[in-house]
Amino acid sequence: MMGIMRWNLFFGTVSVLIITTLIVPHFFGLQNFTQWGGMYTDGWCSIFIASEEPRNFADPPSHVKTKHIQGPSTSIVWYAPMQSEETCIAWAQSHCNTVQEEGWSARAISAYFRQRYLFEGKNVCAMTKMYEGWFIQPIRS
Amino acid sequence: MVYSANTIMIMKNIHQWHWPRVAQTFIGLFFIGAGLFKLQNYFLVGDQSLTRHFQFWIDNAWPPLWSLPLFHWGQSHHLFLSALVIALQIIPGILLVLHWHTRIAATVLFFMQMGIFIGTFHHLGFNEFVGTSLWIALFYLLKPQKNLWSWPLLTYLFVGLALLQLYNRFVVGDPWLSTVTWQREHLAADVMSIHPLWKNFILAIAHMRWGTYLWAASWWIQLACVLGLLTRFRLSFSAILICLWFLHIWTWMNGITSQGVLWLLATFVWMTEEYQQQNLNKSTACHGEPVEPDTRCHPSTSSG
Repeated sequence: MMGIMRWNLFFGTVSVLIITTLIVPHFFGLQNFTQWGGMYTDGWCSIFIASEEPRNFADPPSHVKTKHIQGPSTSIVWYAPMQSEETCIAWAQSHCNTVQEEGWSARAISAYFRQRYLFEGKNVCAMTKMYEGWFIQPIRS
Repeated sequence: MVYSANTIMIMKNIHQWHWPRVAQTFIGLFFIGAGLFKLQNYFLVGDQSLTRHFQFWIDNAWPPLWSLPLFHWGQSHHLFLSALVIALQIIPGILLVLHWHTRIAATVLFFMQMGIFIGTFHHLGFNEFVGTSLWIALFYLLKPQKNLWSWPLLTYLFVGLALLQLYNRFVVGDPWLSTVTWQREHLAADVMSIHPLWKNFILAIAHMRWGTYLWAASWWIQLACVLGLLTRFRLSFSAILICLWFLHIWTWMNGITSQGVLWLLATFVWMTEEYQQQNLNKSTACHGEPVEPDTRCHPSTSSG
């Protein structure tokens, strides 16, 4: 009987964890990336980086260096990560002041999520960091 | 009233029968989720389309040559086909949740998922992902019962899929210590876990010397557990596997996507059925006494 109780307890725990962490994680304050049945979709979040804040990210002056990043700058372990609106902002802000491969620093960043600019395309580096420490970009000297 | 020995056995063991039903409910909910996700993206938001998916597959030369006309046809009828795909995932999902006409639901799902399997045929990652959904559909199609050939067959197929999954992870470099540094860097820079605190916890462990070894050891532990599925201790090995899947999903949540979830669910389906099969075998041998899981009479043990 002990064995039966042990397995029932195990299956019960697994069921509770599936519901709380995989089906409705957002009800419990956990991250949710539509992994419950959602198709894999990268490219929802991309960022426009500039060496100084332009008036318009879509049409920067010629002396401002710009770059568009859609995926990770590192090698990928599983798939290029999907993003929610929240993590897209956090990911964008984690790039602020990082040194790019080309040698210039990211002074202004605009985040773009599912066909729209977040915060109307404003520079997220000039805003308060809302999700400090969620993403840590590698340091280049 | 007089009951047969089998009826008494079923009544005594009735508490064990609900776990496969719980697993089936999760599977149904997953396919409902898959259909609703497509409904949102194809029709409500409209920023994705089957035409683009098919073109991506064709550009990568994933479908076999003979199937190309089918996908070109699909591209020219993408709205109809999108609606059909959504219906063929949501309706079987509902049937599975309600435990109505399970075999019909599984048959529909099998043919539906087979279309995706053909479309992504020359891609090992998709073979594993879609193969898992095909295994699930086959499971509910065959509905294995006591002492039938189907359960050992499904077990061997499950082990085969798990080995393919491990091969795909081998290609990424999971088994080696040398990959830990860049994998850790990727987790820190681009991946979000189930909670930022969990991510920090995992990163802190990964920075320790023993954590580095543990990180690389995960692949080898999985390999041992998958091979352990062929032994009489398979239920215990699968319990370790399912725990590892939780840890993987919680850590790599937005990178592992629904592929990790489907693997976990398939493992849960296999486990709950195996638990029931072992009890059925033991109960038959002991004439209806309620018993603990045992492997003595299991066909896959006796045959291999």
